[in-house]
Amino acid sequence: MVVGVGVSIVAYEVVYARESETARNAFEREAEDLSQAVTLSVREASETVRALQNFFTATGAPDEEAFAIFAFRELQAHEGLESLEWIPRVPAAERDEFEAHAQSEGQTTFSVRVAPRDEAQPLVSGRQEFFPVRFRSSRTDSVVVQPTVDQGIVEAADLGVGLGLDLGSYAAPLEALEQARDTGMLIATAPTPLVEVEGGNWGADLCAGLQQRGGGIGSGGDGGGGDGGGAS
Amino acid sequence: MAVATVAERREALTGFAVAVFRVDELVRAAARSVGADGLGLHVVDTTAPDSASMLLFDGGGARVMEAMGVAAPEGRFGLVQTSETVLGGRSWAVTVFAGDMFERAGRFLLPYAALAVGLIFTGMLAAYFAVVRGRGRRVEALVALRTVQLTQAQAQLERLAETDALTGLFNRRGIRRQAELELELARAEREKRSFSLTIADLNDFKQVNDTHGHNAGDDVLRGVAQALKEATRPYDSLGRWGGDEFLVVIPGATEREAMTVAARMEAAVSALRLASLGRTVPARISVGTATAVPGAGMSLDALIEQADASMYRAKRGRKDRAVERSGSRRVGVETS
Repeated sequence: MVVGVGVSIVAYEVVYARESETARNAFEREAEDLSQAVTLSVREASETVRALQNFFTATGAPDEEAFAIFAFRELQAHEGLESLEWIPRVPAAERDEFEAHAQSEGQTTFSVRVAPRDEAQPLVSGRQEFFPVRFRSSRTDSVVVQPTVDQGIVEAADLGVGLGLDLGSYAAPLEALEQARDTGMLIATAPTPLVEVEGGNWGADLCAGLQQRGGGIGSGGDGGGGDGGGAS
Repeated sequence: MAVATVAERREALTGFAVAVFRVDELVRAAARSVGADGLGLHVVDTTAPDSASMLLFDGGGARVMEAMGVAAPEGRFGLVQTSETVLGGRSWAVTVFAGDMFERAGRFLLPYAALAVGLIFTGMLAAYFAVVRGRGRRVEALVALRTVQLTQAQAQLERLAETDALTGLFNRRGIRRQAELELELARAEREKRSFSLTIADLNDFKQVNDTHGHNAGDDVLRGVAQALKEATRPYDSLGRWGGDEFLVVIPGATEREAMTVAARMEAAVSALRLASLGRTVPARISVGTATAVPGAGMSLDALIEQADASMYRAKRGRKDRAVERSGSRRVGVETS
């Protein structure tokens, strides 16, 4: 009896060791595949922003309808993509003219809005230029992607779909925008919880600077170097 | 015009293209494309010390967990692999670990199967030996039972060998052994006690057989045996000595007491009213006694011989006396 139990245990140990080795090999293979898939998915995210950058370069003066068509296609192609936005640079002196132009193009209530002050995330003040959301297409219109919790909560109803919100009035996005501008590379914010109507997800903004047509952007970029971009 | 410096870039800036990504969905879509069942996935932004970390899959199947500040699990069996990827200048540590589903995907069934087969085989072997051992015990018990039965049968045979089948009394062998005649006689000699015996013989028994048949003769023998049994004391030994003779051993009895017993025997038989085939069958006995007294040094055979002789004398003179004591010569201190 004792010998039988002993032999059974030894057989278990031997087979277990062999199976563990097999499982380890299988795990390493599958984990490698998964890691590469994640890397590929991240690379595709970068390419999406590059494509948007090229879209503005190619089209010159942005057209809201053309932007919506482009954005729709990208949103359909990439499951992780929540929204695409065009953030123009608006010097403080041109703010009124900019708002009037937007209103004349159909966004009748458009105005550059600075987010309310939040103790956790002090607003940037005394700026000479604004970075309001001019065009925006999201996977679901019910989702408000900006601002994030860390950057100061603003009620979704107050923001509409986020148009006109000045990203430059928040420290973290402004830092990413300025870094993208100065380096010519794609710059991402840290993952933060998205403000949504329901549920909780993690979001990150991936920013690329747009330059005047004919202006090149220096070397660098996210993984594959920075692409040049022109602007109207 | 090429924009080379930061100042030139700032001057040429017209705006930004911004994409908002759902990080969890970005990674989840990658996992779906691979179809790695049973693998958990933990992602942490390592760019800053206080960066967010997310547990996107726990490797337990379809369930998805999302939590802030969750440390990367150790993984089942220590199966963990970490790689790094970069998005927009931020580094992400992507940790893949084996979850419960990885173990349950049939990868570790074989060891348990081997263990189970081994234990089952061992159990069956143990059960087999238990059955064999149990069977051996049953055989031993059966042998013991048979031995007891054999002993009982042997005892029964011995009883039958010492019993007269017709009367149920001891036969010659039985009464010798039962009454321990030799020992009893020696004991009486040693203890200086008297030792008596009587022999009874049916009168005209041959005529009974001839006249009424052997069945009637057997009835007479049975009836006489029963009558003698009732006439003797419980501690006297009674047996069929042979043919139509009966022997009664009366330990410690004097000649007088033996004569009393003999008279009682004769009276009991005389009182019998035996019937066979509708006719009354007469039954009479002649009784002879013999008594050994201390110091006489008499043997058992001599004592029986005297009782026999005494019985024949009684038979010859039975018209007057049915009971005769030994008296042809002196036996011990008693005289005829």
